[in-house]
Amino acid sequence: MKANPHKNKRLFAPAALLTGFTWMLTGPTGAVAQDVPSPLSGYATFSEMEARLTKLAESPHVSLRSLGVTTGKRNVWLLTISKGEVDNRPGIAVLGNVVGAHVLGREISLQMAEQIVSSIETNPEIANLLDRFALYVIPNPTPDETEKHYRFPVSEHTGNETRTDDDRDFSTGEDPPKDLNGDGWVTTMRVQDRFASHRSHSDDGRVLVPVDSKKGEIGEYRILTEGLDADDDESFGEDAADGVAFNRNFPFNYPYFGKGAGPHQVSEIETRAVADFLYDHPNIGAVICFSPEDNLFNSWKASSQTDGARIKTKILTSDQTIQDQIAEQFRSIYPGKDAPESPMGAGSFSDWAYLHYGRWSFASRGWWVPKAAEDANKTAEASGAQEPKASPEVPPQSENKPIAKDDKRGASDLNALKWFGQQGIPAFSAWQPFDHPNLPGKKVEIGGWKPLFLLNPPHKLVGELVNPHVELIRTLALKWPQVELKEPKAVPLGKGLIEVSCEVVNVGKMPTMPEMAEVSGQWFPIQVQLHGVDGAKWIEGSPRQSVGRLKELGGTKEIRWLFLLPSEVSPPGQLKITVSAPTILPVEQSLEVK
Amino acid sequence: MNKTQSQTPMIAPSTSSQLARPITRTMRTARAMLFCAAPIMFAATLLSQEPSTGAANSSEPSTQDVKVQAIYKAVGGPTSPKVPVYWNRYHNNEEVKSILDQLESNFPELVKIESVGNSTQGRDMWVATITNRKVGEESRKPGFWIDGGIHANEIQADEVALYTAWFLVEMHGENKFVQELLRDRVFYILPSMSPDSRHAHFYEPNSTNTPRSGLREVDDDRDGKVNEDAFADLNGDGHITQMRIKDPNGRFKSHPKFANLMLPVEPGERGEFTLLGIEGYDVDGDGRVSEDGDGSYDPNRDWPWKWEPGYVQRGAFRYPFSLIENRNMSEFVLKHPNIAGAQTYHNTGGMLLRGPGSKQDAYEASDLRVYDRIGKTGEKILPGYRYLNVANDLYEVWGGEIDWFHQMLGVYTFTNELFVSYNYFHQSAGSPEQSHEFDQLLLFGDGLLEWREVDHPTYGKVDVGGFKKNWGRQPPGFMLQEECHRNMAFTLYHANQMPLLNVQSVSIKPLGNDLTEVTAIVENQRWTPTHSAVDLKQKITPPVSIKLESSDLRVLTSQHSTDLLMRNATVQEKDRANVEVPSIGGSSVVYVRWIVAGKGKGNIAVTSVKGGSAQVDVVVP
Repeated sequence: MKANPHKNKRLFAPAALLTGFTWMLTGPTGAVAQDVPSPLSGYATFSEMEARLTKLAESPHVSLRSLGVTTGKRNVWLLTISKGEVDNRPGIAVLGNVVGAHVLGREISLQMAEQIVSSIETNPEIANLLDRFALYVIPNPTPDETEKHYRFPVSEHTGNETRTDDDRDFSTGEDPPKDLNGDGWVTTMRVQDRFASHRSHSDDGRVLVPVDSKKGEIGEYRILTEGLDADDDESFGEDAADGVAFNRNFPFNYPYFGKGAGPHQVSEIETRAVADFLYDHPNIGAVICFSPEDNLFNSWKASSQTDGARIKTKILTSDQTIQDQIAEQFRSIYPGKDAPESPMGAGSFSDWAYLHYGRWSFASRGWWVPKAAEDANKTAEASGAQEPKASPEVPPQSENKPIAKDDKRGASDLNALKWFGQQGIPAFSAWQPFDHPNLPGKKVEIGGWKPLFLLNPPHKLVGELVNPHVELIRTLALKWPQVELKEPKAVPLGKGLIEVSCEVVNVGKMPTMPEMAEVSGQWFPIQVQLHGVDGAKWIEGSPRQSVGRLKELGGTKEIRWLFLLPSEVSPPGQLKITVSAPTILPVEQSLEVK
Repeated sequence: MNKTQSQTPMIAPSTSSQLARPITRTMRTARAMLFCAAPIMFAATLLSQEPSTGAANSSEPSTQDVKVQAIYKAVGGPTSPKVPVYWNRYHNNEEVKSILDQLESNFPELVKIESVGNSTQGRDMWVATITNRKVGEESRKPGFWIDGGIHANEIQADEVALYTAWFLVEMHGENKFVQELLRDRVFYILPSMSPDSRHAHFYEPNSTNTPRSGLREVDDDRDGKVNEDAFADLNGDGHITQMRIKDPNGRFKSHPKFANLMLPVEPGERGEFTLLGIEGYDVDGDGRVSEDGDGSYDPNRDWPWKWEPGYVQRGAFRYPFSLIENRNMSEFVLKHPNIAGAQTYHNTGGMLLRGPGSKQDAYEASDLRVYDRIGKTGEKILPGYRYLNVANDLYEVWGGEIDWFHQMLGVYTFTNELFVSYNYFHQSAGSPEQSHEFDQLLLFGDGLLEWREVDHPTYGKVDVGGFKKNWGRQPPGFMLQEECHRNMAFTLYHANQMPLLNVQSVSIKPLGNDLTEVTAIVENQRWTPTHSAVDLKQKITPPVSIKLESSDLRVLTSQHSTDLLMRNATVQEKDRANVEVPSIGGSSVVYVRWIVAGKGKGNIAVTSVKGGSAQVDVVVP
């Protein structure tokens, strides 16, 4: 190691030098000091989040309640923000990090709530939003999974505190990843091996890329998790009993028997609490979550094939159009570009929210490593990055040709090394030789990306990520379906026979429900009711009629009632038509029988 | 029948000793002293001893037994049950519980009753654990799960499960088969999976088809009001029947012989009636009759394997195990990985159903062979019943209970659809006329409510009538006991075929240099394997452990094979004393060999989660 990555912290944290800790003063009170892993420096801890939620709940427009208590005895907090009665107006739900390691999601959603609540009195647009909508914020749906990332040594975890047999070998937690070199981070091991799947990058020997056998390349390194082979099964650090992953526990495309999937769908306290809350709130029409499985920059793609299939597996074409409009609006104000590809999910929350729950569903990664500035001369040194280019670690015996300029393999790692270097953040641990007890005679090195850095930006960058997500909510609100009652008429046809008619028109820029909601049946249709006609004999129609999906910008349904008022019933002076559904603002109109 | 037999209904110890070789019993320690001077396979002498508390404990007649010795016994049932039950009638929740309680208090060594949790309306869900607790550990015996009434209107399902519990304990003292079954196996019997709806079916107006759902409140028509428009008993007779309206252009007419039966008219023919569906009003004024009543979901579409939401699979609720009753039950089952076979009871149609429920799903071929064998025998035990596959022979079911059992727990599971029209006249026809004729000739009209005119607020004058709620899907009283017994017999046949492991023999062969070869033959005495194929594929159940435990002997190497000559043997690489065998097939053996150094005593312990356990002592001289 050429430069101590923690040197710049020495003033504050001499004790942390050896372990990679960052020392910080925390909490609004400033009274409590605690260690947090450096990538999460500045981010609210769970207890700080609770303190800030409690503070928010002092507002008359905010309420706070727990949806459940996890195995780790943490609350799944729900913050409700609205002016007036909450549950009888359209709702938008925001979930913070559905993936524990993605602490950024918790932080952004918390700051979104703070920004919105603090501007209710001063910002008329926000006030207007909260007049019309209820916002439901669950900043940390994964409290146990998140909390694991506050432990040392720092490791990336995939599940909650349910103990699981991750490698399905009938013993649980027998071979967890380990910080073998004691640097405070659980990273990776690379083992020299001609038959392995990876080779080093010719531009930077720290970066390992998959071997391309078509190019005649040969392997150089096996990549393993930093750890032992405690159970002698030739896998390393493969069973940490790492729990059930929130974002693998939902029923759409559920990964049966997969790691982190749990014994069955929605098996966990957290997932059940969230799913039940959402089903219990038919007024919620859109769901935003934070997840590496982004669909704002990596739009879901419809296809005519899947549109027609009985079991829907992709977004429907008509819904994609709407989701794309909203995502486009978001992209236009978001500060970052060149988003990375989204990993494929299985059992994920956001897929489920659209394909089963039937709501508009947006998933935001929130941040990714930006494109590094072109001036790269100082990269390596400034970074505390541990090695210069053309590292001697490129095995001298390498038989592989250099990687061509137009070859994208390793490009994101190269860029990230450069960017973190420019920022002076030691996110990458240099490859260091290690004498591994289970790999005698092999050349083993420990190093690679430290956990959390690639998912969570330095905290000072979080601020500018908050507003675009608040704007995403506003965009939804501005496009939201809105019904109007047009051409209401009540015409007496003589002898007590009366015909009433009207048109229900959606003047919003979104349909009254996604097409998927109509398919799934998980959306409450609009109810149109005629009042003031007690005792009538119905010739056609019934007092209450339900209206299916109305398209955006003018989708219309004509409603007609025909009834007879028997002579003993006194004629109504005034009738009233009401139009309502949990996801729209109600409309009513009175009319005279002429 | 001679007098002696009729007067000794209980098994005497002499009878007990004629059971299968004692060493074959799974749960027992067969103490074997093994000496072997010559290198001859199977030369070991196995000496067994009866357990001090054996199955014979219940052979002491009680005073009640003495009193009834004069009874002429009808074979195949208990001579004089301690818990008298009429099996020609149906039992409400309280009676079910009372019977279970009485079984427990009369047979405390056999029966344990506990609640797996509460239903939506707070009723306990009772499960009976039945095994001979004096022999072996309950959790180490292969377990068999039985449940009934997940669709509560299918009420005889609960009765079959309850009958099975009653029969097993009441027959334990007088039948060798039952005695062995309770010695080697444990039964978990949950008669009522949906007790709220069972109560509703008994005491509220319903039809034979309702309530299939549980009673969680659901806004079925998604109008913001819950259960505001249930079906209604227009004429107050306690039954929900059909409505018809006179209509000279209707599509239905009365049957010439059975006036109550509505027949569709032929083309060109004029009808008399239009059918208006089940009894009810349009309470909420939305133009639809009875569209939002109790429940609406199907508890048997709530199971995790291949679960799909309601738009694909009608009746699916929010997500798998979103229904508390199923969740309660599943938590109990997951705590009992020894369950190796399962049976769920439904009605109707006389079917022995196996999964998969979806055509996009498949069971492994070797698993199907196990099902075929049980199912084909079932067709003999249950005349008129057919062994069928859900997806291909019935209809597709996504998220059914039996697929969860098989595909996620590796447990062979059947659903019996109880009652079949074959029972009417012992011929397969299933025409609507048959049930009416049966009602006339054997029920004397007790199954029907004749059409009666009532005033309907929306439709005007309509007729209400049809089959009563207790006729159609349920057997009449005089057939109920036979239905219980035959279905139980099928289930016990299945239960008896669960894997059952035994150390068949151990041989000792000196190799010189203070080394000895110890070879055990471990057999599965039944034709169900210790691991279903899906169990192996998904790594659900740990392998069979065959362990040579000894402080005197040091294991140098070990291996196992299904071949007598140990060809293609698998070498045990880790923990060599403990040979792990992935699965022991049905009616198969595995040869396990250890090379040991030293002399002295040891013990071979066989442990299988679903196949039970066995052990023998071994001595290397």
